[in-house]
Amino acid sequence: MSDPTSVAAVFTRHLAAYLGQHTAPMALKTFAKQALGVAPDQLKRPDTAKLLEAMRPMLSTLVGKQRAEEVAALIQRELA
Amino acid sequence: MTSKMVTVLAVVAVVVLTVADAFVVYRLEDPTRFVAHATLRAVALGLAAVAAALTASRFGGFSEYVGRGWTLLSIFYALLTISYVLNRAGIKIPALADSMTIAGNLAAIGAFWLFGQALRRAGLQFYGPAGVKVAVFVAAVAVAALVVTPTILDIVRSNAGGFSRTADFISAFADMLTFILIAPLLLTLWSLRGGQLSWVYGLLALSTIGWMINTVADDLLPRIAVRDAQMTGLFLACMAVAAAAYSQLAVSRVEAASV
Repeated sequence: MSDPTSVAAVFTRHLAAYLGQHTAPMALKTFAKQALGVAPDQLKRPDTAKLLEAMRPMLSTLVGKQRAEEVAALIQRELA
Repeated sequence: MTSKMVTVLAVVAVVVLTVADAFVVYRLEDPTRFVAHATLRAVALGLAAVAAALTASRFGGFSEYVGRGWTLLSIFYALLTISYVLNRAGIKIPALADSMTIAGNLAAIGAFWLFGQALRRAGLQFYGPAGVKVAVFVAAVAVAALVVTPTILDIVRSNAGGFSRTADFISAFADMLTFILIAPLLLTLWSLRGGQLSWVYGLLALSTIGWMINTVADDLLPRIAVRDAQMTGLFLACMAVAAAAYSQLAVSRVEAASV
């Protein structure tokens, strides 16, 4: 995850703001495996929408629906 | 205002309220002392109720998971406030007071259960080895038993009537459960450390510690020469909940990196 513009790095950075440095990578690993069957370092930009869709319930549970949508939009924009 | 700053303000408020109660209010003569003491306590409880209600309304009350815990917590603190004010005003209707005690305690159990389950509900797990998680739960059960047992023994020995006794038992049972539920709050805090959500769970755990202090103030703390800690515990519980409510709102309002 040395490239800060990689899909995994962008997701981890946004998630870490809420979940912290320990749980953010764990969350990414869990949902990447669950939604796409891949490891975080294998994520590609076209995977973004599907991964965000899988993470939406997790974000809604912890930060509320509106904020979850805003976080998803921020990640989507950065990886567009 | 950041979550860290709100936490500092909450701690300062606890110190100010405790000092005001111990060194100013207790030097007054009754009835002024009675009114001032009751007002401080009612204001602390009311502040926690309002803060929790504002946060609950931000998340549409029961319509969102995060709103459900705050709605139940606001009900708990609102009923505590109403019950306390009625009691201090001399309006004593035992059936109403007991009903509010039962409803309030059930709301508290529901709230802390939801907060404790949030990480699992989100599809995540507590961070760290299984042994540590088990140890935290065992420690929470032991502390809860130590803290609540004297209260349960008092209820068993009391001559209170049937419904009142039931309300007291439910209250003690609710204390026991919510004190045990500090374990998932602490594990969530540990899992989310460094993230903005950790403030919410840390402050909720702190509020539970406040209620623990409040509960042991009469029985256990005097044995180790700590006196008059009841109000400190109550102020800590109320201010921590208010700060937690603010932190949850702050996380939902702005980009977390700047909270």
